Amino acid sequence: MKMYLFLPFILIFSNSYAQKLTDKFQYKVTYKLTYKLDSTALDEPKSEYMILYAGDKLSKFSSRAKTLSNPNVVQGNSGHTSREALTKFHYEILKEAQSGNLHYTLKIPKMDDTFYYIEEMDQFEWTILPENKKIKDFKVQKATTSFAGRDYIAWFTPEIPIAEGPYKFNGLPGLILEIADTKEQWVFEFFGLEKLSPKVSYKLNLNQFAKTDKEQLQDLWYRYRKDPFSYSNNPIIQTSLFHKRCTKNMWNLLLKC
Amino acid sequence: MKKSIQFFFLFFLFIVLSGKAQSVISGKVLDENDQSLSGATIMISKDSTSSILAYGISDSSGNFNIQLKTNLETLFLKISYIGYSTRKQKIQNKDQQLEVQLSPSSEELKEVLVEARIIEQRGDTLSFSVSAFKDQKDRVIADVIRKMPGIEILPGGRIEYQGKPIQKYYIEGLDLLEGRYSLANNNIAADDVSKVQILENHQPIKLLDSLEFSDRASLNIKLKNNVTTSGTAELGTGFSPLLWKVKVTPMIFTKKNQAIITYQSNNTGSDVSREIRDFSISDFGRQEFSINKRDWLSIRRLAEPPFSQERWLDNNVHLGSVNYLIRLKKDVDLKTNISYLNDAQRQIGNTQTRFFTPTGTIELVEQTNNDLFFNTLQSKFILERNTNDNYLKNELEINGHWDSQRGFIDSGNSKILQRLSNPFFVVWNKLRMLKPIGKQLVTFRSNTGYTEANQNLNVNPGQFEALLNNDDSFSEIGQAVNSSTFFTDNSAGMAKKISGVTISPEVGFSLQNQHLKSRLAIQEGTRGEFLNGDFRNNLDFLSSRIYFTSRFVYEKDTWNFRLNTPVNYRAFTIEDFFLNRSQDLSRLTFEPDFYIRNKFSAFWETSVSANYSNDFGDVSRMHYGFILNNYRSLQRYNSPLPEDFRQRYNWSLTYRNPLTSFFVSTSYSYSNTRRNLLYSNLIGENGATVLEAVEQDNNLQAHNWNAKASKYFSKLNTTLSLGATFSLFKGEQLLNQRLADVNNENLSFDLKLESEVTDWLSTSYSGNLSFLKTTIEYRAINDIETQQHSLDLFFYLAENQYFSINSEYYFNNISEENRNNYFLNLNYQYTFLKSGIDLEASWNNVLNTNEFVRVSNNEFAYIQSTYRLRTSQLLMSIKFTF
Repeated sequence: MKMYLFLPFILIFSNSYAQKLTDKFQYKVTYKLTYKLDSTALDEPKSEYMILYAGDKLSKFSSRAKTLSNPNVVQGNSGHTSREALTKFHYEILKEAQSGNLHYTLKIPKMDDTFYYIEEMDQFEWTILPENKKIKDFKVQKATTSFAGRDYIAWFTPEIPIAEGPYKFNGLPGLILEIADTKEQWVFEFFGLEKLSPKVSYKLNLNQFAKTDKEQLQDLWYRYRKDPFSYSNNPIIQTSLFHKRCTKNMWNLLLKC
Repeated sequence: MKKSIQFFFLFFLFIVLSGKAQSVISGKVLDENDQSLSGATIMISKDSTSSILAYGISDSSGNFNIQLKTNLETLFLKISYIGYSTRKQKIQNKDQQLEVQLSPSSEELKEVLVEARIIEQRGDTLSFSVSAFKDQKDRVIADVIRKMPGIEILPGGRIEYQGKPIQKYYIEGLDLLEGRYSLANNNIAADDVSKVQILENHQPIKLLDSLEFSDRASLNIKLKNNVTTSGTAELGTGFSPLLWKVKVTPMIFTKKNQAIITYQSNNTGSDVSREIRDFSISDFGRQEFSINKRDWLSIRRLAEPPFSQERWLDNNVHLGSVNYLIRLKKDVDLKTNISYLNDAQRQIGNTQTRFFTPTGTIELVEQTNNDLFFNTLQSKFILERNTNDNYLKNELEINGHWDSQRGFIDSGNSKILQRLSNPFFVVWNKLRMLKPIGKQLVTFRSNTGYTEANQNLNVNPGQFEALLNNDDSFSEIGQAVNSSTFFTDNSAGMAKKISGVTISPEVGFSLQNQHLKSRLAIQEGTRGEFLNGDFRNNLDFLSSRIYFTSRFVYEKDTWNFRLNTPVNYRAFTIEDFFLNRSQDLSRLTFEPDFYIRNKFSAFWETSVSANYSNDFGDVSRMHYGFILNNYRSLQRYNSPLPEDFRQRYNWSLTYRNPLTSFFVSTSYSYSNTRRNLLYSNLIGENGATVLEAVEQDNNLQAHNWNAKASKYFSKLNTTLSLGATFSLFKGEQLLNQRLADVNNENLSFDLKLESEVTDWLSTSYSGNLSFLKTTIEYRAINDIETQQHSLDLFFYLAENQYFSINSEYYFNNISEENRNNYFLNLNYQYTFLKSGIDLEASWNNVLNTNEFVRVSNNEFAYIQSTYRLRTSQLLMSIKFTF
């Protein structure tokens, strides 16, 4: 009994060695992500807006819905999370230039389970090509890379000297305005750039997140997507007789995002 | 912070040609104060307009290092950093070390503003095509829905999406059945459905659509045809005795009219109410008045066994239900649900009660033989108007119960016949309206209803001779109760958000007027007599309440606060003309409720809650004259109105590691109730009890502690969970005029194991061990130990066949015989894939165990009840859709 009473204090104490990522974001870049889950184009392509925030030390990339879902929208007479705050993408990617670390964080939807893993930011071998074009008045130049089994074509602009881009992409001499894989299953297009004034302060306490690695997190996400019910309850609750057997095949289609 | 990994982006050549000269250009970028600038981009090109040949980005100490291969004589170098003016200069193509200082610039980047329209984007509707999920053995839509991702159908029939109950079950956008959707879900043929849509974060009230967030989902069933007729039928028979089971559910759906009809009948103990159970999410904690049937009088019933009623219920039930929806005009629906249930049940068994009184132990054995008859008509009419600027829902419910019961008890030296007529009637109207007033949206609620119970209990021979008939025996005692209640509750509320805190104030008033008339008659031969004095009631009980309550909610980061602050003004007027007794009471109460939750690390979460509440009795706990509740219990509350003041505190701690699938939680709660009344029981030699309330302050204290742990072993496909609970209850009681402290301790342990051993076999085990210890000040009573174990095995023999074995074991240490109870059931199902017929055979109670014994206790007695079970029987049934 007594031991349990002390546990939270011990944990709160250990918390004081907090590992925090903080910055003030100066720029907000909006991308439109168009994606196809199935290369056979069974599905209509779907799209979602994604946001890249950039500050002096840190950048944060996530779905726009996630950036909206935290601050409650106030409209009329009640506070609420807006309807459009729905997303298929529950990650937030934080890149910290100083340490060269990329933090991939994930929150399980509708629950308080949060995870992260660390990768190096420097994981792209860019080849710069002499092609140029214009995207919304910015002069961009072509570059290519390979990543996670796909070949990507990126367009970056030296006119915005931020070595950043959507998703995990970074490391070109200028902001990546457009990037897509060659099969066009994942297409990020530039939508807008705003200077934030005042700057938006950001703080993330990594102690609230369980540290893991990429493989383990992928397993867990698979487990969640396959059967959120048994994920949240630890599958002791007797699910219906055929349920588990029947879900397996049907899932593969939906699991790809 | 990790700094070991240096931040370098080295060279890239866009054309690789052999024989070119290689040069290394390195350097450092500084700001106007000679501080290093990291993240500056350094680009090298042929001239100011051409493409980049090579580039670098300065590291955390401002250094860069660029290697390039080119035959050019001169290069164009461009160094930029956000908020600084770009440095451009020509350099020679040779190895060199540069130091570049940038100066701040007010020059702005050109912004590209995002168009507003994308903010209006709406959430997607998930749409599942039924044909993708359906296979040959699926018959009804529930079979298909339970396979859809994220959807779970619980054993009782409730549907959950991502672990939360669904909000609405629409058929073609119409909400015919409200919360009783199991009827549709289990009977619409899967072949008639084209799509199942999941409306995530669905707000069913259009007016609130952009105002109030909903975290619940709804389902919509899209049918293939404009006019659909569908249905299922199930027929079964078995022995012994001759068993039958019939279920027919036809239905029709058109664009503006929908109807589902069901008729069910069986004598197999099956629960027919299962499909018409209501899963709607009601306004939690709001309804002060219950419209559930309330019985003043009863015959002695037997405690029902804790397992499936198909193994013990001896019934003969008929249920008819009609559900009809008509869309009167756009956004206006009228719904009607009418159902009639007729059931005749029989209970056979015995009860052994051991009373512990200050002077000794009283043993009472009752051989019980009961017949229960139920006749229930329920009707509900719902009018709903749901437009963009107006919401109105009016529900009118009219229910009648014409129930009666007959019980025969043999207690060795006496044989007692009880006859009960216990009808009940209720009319209830509930209105909910949302209306914008200025910029505010105001919710009006109104609940009004009337209930009536005119009940009679007759017992032969007469009881309580000493009290009622000067110790002379008499042939019959009759108790009549006429009670009625009128209630109304009306309120208006709204919600507002002020600097992060959501405040929802509500104001309202309610009124409840109860009448109770009762008479007790004794009869000897043909001579009957109504008793006067303390054996009659003619009570008027008026209670009114004015309330103002506010709810505050604040959520930030890992914190969650909730506070409710209800202020109530209550007034009571109680008067009995015949007994010439009356009392008035008014109270202003403040009953706050507080909750804080904090997730203080990735795996740990803790919460604390506290509340304080006042409860006042109603007419069932406040009447001056005696009422014979059952053949051996007389009760009266000849005292001031009961007032209970309760404080409750709760603390919980949870550890949850989804990575290892290991969850642990523990919680402790304490409550203390201060009461102004003490209940006094006078137990006679034959177990007859007289209960009265005595004015005396006393306290009830309860401690509860529980712990749970579960772990999923993914390699073994097995979940193990363990649990323990301990509760301690302390109070005072008056038993045969002696005051005593009573202590009740209960300790129990649970173990569950569930495993999918192979593809074709899954198994689950659950066990419970519990100890119950009661101490009455003047004596200690033997501990009760009970055990409960069950083991289920499911064999998936083939794609269209399955077989299951369910076994259970129960133990208690009190019974002298029948301490151990064993049960075994077998079940087999075969599906004819082509003809669409399911065949099911079940053999219940294979071991032919004829009795079940369970032991329980109250403050002063052990009760051991033995229930006669259904005999071993075989049942075959076929099921098909049409």
